[in-house]
Amino acid sequence: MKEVKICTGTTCYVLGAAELLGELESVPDTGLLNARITGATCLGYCKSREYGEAPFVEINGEPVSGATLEKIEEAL
Amino acid sequence: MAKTNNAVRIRRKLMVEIARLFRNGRLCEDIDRLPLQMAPREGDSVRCCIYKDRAVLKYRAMSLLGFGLEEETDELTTLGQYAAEAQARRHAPSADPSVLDIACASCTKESHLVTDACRGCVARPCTTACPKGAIQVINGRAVIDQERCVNCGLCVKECAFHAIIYRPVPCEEACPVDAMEKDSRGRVRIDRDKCIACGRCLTACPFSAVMDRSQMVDVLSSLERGEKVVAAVAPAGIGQFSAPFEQLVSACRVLGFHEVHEVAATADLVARRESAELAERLDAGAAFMTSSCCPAWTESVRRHLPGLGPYVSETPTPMALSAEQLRHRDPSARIVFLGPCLAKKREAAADPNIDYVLTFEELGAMFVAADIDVQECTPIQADTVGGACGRGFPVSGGVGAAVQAALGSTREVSTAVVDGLTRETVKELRRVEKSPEDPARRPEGAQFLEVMGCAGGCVGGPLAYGAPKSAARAVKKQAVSVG
Repeated sequence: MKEVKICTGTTCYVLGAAELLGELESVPDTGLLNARITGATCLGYCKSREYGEAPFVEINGEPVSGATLEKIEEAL
Repeated sequence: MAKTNNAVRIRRKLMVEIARLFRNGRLCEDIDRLPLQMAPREGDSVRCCIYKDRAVLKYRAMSLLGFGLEEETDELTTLGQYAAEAQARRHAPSADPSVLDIACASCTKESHLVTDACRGCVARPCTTACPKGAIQVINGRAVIDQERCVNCGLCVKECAFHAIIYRPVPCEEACPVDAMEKDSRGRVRIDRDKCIACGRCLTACPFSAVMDRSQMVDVLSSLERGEKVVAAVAPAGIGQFSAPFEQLVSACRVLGFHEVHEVAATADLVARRESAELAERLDAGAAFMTSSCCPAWTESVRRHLPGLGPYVSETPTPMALSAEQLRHRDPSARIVFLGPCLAKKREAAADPNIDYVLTFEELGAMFVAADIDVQECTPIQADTVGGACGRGFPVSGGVGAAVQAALGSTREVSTAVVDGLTRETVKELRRVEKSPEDPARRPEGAQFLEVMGCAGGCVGGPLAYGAPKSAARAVKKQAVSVG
C-alpha cells in the first residue's frame, strides 16, 4: 500500500494543504483508495528551494511539490 | 468558504511575499518587483500575456496594502509609494471589498444555452415547458430566444438529454442580495448600499476579481513600532492551522502580539445575555427573536429586511464585547480582531474599540514570513479562555445550542438555523419579513432563529483556511476539551 503524507506544517497549510485535506476526504476515489493518507507535521521540504513550492506531499518517501489532488493522483 | 484553486494560491503567495518584504525592511524598495517575479518573462501566462498578469498582480498587491483600485488616481503610482503610504497611516483602510475591474472578465449576462447534446427530439418538452414561448426547434435543434428567456430554468429540468445548461455570472449568482451590477462595458461593480460584506463574491469569482482590502501592513507596522498590540481571536480560530488552539496562541505571541484573548469567552456571555433577552421578549408576547452575532446577517436586516429589525437581539456581538473589555482595561492598546470574516471588517470600522481586523489568511501569511510553524510552538493558554458554549459559536447551530443551554432545563424554546445567506435563503427570510408573527413562515416555527451568513457557520468564512467540515470537527473537539 502506498503511503501518502500531507504536510500540514504552517507553510504548506497556508499555501494549500488546509484545503487539500478536505478535498481528499470528499473525493470518492480510484487511485487514492489504495493509499494510506495521513497528515504530517512539517516534512522540511519548504526549507530548501530545490524541492520546489509548497504545499508538499510525500508519497512513499518521495516529495511532490505544489501538490494538488490531480498531482497526487498522477503520482499514485 | 475558502477553496484551493490557482487564484487563491496566488493571493496567498503574494500575501506571504509582502509580509516577508516587510519583515526584511524591504517593502517599499522591492514590492514593485513582485509582479515581475511572480509572472516572469520566461514563464507561461495565465491571462492573455504576462504583462496583463503582472498588471493584475500589481492591483492585487495594492489591495493587500489596503488600497482599492477605485483609489488609483495616477496609474504611474508605484507599489512602493502605496506601501510607504500604508506604513504611515494610523487608521485602518476602508472595509469595503474592491473590484479589480481589469481582472473582471466581463462575463456575459446570465443565460441558458442549448448544447450539442440536443437531439432535436420529437417530444420537445423544452418548447412546451417554456412559459415565455422562447424555445423553438430550428434545423433539428432547440434554439432559445434570449430576448424572451427569463432564466426560469424549467427547460433544464425537462430535457431528457440534459442538453440545456445554465450559464451564470458567478458573482451575481453568489451574491445573496443582488449587489453586483455591471457598468456599460460589462464589468462588475458592487452597489455599496446593497452590499452586506458577506464576502461570497470574493470566493465565487473564478478570475478572483474581487479583493478584500487588507490591514496586514497596518498590523505589521504597529507591531514594528513596538505598540502594545492585543489580539482578540474569533471562536473560529480554534479550527485553524491543524494545531491545538494553545499553539496558535503561542504562535501569535512569537509574532509579537502582547496578549491573546479568546473571543469565545465573551461569546459565553453573549449566550447568557441573549437567553435572558429571549425569555424576556417571549414573556412580553414577542413571536420570536433572531441572533445578532453575524454582521452579514444584521447588515442584511438593516439594508434589505427592515421589517425584521425589531426581532433582532440587541445583545452586542462577541467581538464588540471583547473589544469593550479590552479597551476598558487598556485604553491605549491597539486591539486587533483575528477572524475568518469580511463582514467583521465593516462592523469593526464602526466600533471605536477595534483598531484593526486581520483575517486568518493574513495571519497565516505573517507566520510563514516569520518562519513560525504553529505546530512547533510550545502550547500556552490564552489570556482569556473561552468556555464550551462560546467555543461552539462558529459552527452553525452553536449559537442556538448555547442560548438553549443558558436558558437551562426549566425552559424549552424551539430553535432553528438559517445555514448561510444565499439568494434562496434571503427569499425565505423575505417571506418571514412579510408577516413575522406567523410561525408557519419561520423555519420550523422557531422562537429563536439563528442566522449565519456563511454555510457551516463562521468556520466556513471566506477568509479562513480549510473546508468548513474539517474546521468544524476541530472546533467541536476542542470545545469539549474545556468542558
